[in-house]
Amino acid sequence: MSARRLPPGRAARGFAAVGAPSVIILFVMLCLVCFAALSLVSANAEMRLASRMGDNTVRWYEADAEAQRRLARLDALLAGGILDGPDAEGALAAEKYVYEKAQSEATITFFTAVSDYTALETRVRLDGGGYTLVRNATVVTGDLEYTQLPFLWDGVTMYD
Amino acid sequence: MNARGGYAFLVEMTAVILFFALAATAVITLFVGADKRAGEAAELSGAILAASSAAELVRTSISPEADFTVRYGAVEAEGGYEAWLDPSFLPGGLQEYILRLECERAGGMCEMTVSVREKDGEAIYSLSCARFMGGGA
Repeated sequence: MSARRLPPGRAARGFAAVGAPSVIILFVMLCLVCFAALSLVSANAEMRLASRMGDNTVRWYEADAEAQRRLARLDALLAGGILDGPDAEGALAAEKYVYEKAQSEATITFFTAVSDYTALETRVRLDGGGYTLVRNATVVTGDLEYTQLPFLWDGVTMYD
Repeated sequence: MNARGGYAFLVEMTAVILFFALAATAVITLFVGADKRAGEAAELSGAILAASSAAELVRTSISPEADFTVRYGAVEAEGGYEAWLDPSFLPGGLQEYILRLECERAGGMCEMTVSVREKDGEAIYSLSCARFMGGGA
């Protein structure tokens, strides 16, 4: 069998040679795969954010409910005449309430942990035989400690 | 083009079409998965907002059941109160999700659970809150 003769200037083309349509299809598919991967990553990030938001919300409401239970406990203690005892401050401290008496008013404060860094601060002002709720707010109780600081570009290139 | 060239072209096109079909299937699967995941995230976010809005209403209310009923047009159902939410998790309109409130009173406390559910009753998100209704001091 004799070799096939090619026109001058044309190289021999193999059986599995890749033509322009194949290259275009390959490029299009690569683009589509990239977009699909980006969509999936973005959707996963949204889901993680939503889950975290849900967990934080649950924790805050649980802490608030616990603060309300502690308020009910304080109410019972006050109704039981804890302030009439010889060491009201100590007795309240044993129940983790902070009793503060200034010249004009007396207050009782307690904290309910929400997370490692935040808590609910609840304060009641004692007036006569009863009390008034004057504060119920989320406060920061600790500094954030980063295990690894994220890289933030400050506008200066190292090798200028 | 001779017969051999035409045959090579046909084989190449067949391979390309096969590759395209396989790759397109994989890509579509990825897109569908991403869309489903994004839908779940949006649903959870909406449920969280709806539940926390309702929780804010009832935990600051002296009569949570009455306020919940007025605000959401809820009706009594299975020991609690239920209202319909539309696909945007707002009260009224299309009946897509169920917002449910359960209250238990004991010792001056009102312990409440607000949950958002699918039509079939499957819970999406749930919040527990409480209010001290007053006591003896």
